[in-house]
Amino acid sequence: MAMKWLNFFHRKGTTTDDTRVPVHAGSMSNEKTNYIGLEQGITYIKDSFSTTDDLIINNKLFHEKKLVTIYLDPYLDKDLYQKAISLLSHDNEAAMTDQLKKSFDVCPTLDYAIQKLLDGKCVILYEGVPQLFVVNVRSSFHRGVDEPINERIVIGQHEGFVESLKVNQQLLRKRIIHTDLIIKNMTIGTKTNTSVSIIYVEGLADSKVVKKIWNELDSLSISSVESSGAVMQLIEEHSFSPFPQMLNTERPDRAAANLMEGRIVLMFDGSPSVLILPVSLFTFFQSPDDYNTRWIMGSFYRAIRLASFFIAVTFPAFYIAVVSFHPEVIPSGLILIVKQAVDDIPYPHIVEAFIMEMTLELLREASIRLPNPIGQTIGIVGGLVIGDAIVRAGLVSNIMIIIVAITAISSFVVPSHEMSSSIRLLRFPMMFSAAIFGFVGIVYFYLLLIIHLCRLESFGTSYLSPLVPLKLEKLKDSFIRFPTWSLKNFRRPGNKKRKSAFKEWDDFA
Amino acid sequence: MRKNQAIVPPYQLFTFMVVTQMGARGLSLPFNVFTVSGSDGWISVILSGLFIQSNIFLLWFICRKYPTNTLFEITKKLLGKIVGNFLNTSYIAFFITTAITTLVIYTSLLKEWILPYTPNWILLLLFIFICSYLVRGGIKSIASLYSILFPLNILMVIFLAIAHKNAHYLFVLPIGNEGLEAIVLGAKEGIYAMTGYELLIVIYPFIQGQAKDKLKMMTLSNIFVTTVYTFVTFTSIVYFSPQEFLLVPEPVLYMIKEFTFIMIERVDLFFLCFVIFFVGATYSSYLYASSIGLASLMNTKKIEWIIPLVAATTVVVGSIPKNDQSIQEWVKLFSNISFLFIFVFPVILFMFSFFRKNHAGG
Repeated sequence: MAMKWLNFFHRKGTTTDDTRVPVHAGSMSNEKTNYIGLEQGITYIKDSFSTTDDLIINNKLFHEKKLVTIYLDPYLDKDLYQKAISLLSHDNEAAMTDQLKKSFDVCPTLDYAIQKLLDGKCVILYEGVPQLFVVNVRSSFHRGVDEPINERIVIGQHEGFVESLKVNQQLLRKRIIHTDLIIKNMTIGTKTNTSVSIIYVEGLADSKVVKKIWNELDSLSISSVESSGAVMQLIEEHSFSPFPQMLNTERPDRAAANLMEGRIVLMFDGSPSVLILPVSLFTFFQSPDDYNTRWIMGSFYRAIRLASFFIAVTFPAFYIAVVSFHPEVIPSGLILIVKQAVDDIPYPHIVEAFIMEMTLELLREASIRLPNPIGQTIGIVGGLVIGDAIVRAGLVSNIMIIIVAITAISSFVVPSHEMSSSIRLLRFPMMFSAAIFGFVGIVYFYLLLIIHLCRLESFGTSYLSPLVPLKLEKLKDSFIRFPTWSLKNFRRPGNKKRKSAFKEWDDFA
Repeated sequence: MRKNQAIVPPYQLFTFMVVTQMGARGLSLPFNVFTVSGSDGWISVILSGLFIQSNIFLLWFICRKYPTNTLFEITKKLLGKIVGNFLNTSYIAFFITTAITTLVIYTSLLKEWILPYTPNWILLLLFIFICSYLVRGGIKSIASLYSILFPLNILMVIFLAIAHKNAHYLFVLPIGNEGLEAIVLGAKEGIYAMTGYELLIVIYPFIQGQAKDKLKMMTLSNIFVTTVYTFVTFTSIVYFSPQEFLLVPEPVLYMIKEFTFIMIERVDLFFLCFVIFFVGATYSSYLYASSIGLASLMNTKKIEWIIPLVAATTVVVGSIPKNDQSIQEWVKLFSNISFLFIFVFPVILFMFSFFRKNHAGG
């Protein structure tokens, strides 16, 4: 496309080249080697793993014939292994071979066996039997399903996703107990072979988007998948946009609620955060808290969060514009206070604002890295020492400190980390444009921002939906949250009016 | 050109028209009308609304015959290629000139009210950059943006209602004092401030829905705009005394300047900031119209090249007028010419489409 400079924000992040052969699980080598005999099998597996030390090959003798078990040591669960071997202790050879075929899975090829080995299975070879068998000996451990520390809520479920795909799937399954919940599995990453699940509710999710996501993931030719965040950047459409186009969450209840709204969940093995798409701007401002409390409170929280968006983006810029361009908007009662504070600052207000904002960002970043006990110290050093001393020294006005504090608090109100970071970042260009053009600069930047939001799409859905295109039914759950019984998701079909819960009382009257 | 697809929901036709029609020109509308028809100015504005409604019917009749074609294709179909292209060229020139006029009024506003020392060209350059970014998104993103801006419009009107606290309603009496001729002449000023509806003939094929719905939306938007402008004019007339009125070329801003609140003063600055959104909208609409016109004239698909080109032209020409005098003359001259495009040419097109009944439907 021509005119790249205007299309700057809309670069396609990935290519969906249909001609490319998708990389599937287990296709690390294309030729298939069949199992011929014991020695050939062992050599083949040994060669495939080259020099690794954790490949254990155990030789046992059962009825004067060799029984070989091969497994990867780090995966081994001793109990499971013992149980599997003890199944084989039979009086005669025929009964044992019978048992072998009955209780263990047969491997078609040696490559398949290697794949299973990598997956934590144990491969069993028995002299004289022309088949390979696998049995699961994988030890499973994962941390508890604790509430994620970066997405706390007050009232509601306190479970969180963990690093195990199976556990995460169970957390969703038990929330949506219905046959319509579809879990599609695939693996990506030619070296890491990471399992990925595409989860959606049949009939609610847009099948076109599901297909698009499937193709997009399928055509990814990457060797490793570190986390959901890395894949998110590969499949998002507008990688130059400051706004996240997928919701990253560690809360199962949030994921389940989004599934019920027709969204799609992407789950990665080894990653406690799942991706939700397609999203709109308002999705990032929803929290399970809104629905677990009464609707008046829920609406209040929602409104506060959306207001925080505007405060966090605009407040420092507004201060700069007022003080350096339009002091006439300050009423007479306030003007003396502001003048006293601002007059002695020896440099332009943008510098003053920039120093404070940068200090704040430094403090924030430092407090994440530090262990908890020292984190307290940072708070004291940053908040009290710098805050107090910088004003006394006359480097920054005390009004600026107030502005920065309010901005900082507002930027942490947003219940999504991604969106909160975007907002913090947007503040800086806003400050600069306010420093150059005053109010006009703020308006220009907002105009640019709104236009960008209008043009932005998340997997074919408008980013400003349900505001654009207008859907009144869904607008009930955007700026404020309407009573639960009026929302479509909670309403019983054909029963629009809520029945009084205390109807029985009428009978007593 | 790509095939014209109906991608804009009908309600966005309403917001598109309202937001395009409202703009910087509305700020000085009461003054322009007052200088001609005095305290009966508000009747003039209603009258211009009625005229525009008849004009909308006219445009709608043409569009209904060719529901999948824009103006630039209709002219060629009706008048033949040579005459059609000539008319197209003049229409494109008209749209570009309207865009330039919008810019000129906008810069003089900024210079007088907000940023007296900042050089014009940089403000304009950034402005057209932002607007080109919007227009490049196509009619869909333009219509989306306008539907978001629309609530701001209502906010501004509510804001204006505060002026009625200090109103002297006797200023409107006696009604009809200036005579019928003055009222009708004043309506001309009103029509000029309300231009923008003529873009219907350009964006018509992109709107979803039946022809009837589109007419309904246009009528609604016209009613809305006429009501708001009548309200603005009426408010200005009852706020300023007749002697004072002649001294304030932007009565709306002067009026708002008087308001004071506990927390904030000089509310006119904030009001002007809101106006910038609408100026951007008006400008973008015309930029879009002229760009797709040029693309169809040059028979090219590379509209993404044409948009910045047209935008650059508007800035270069828009920076020429230096003082208020020349701006006033420019605007006056242009408002007379625009009648040709919003009324005379559509009448001709309508007559042709009437006679070419048999070929309709293409």
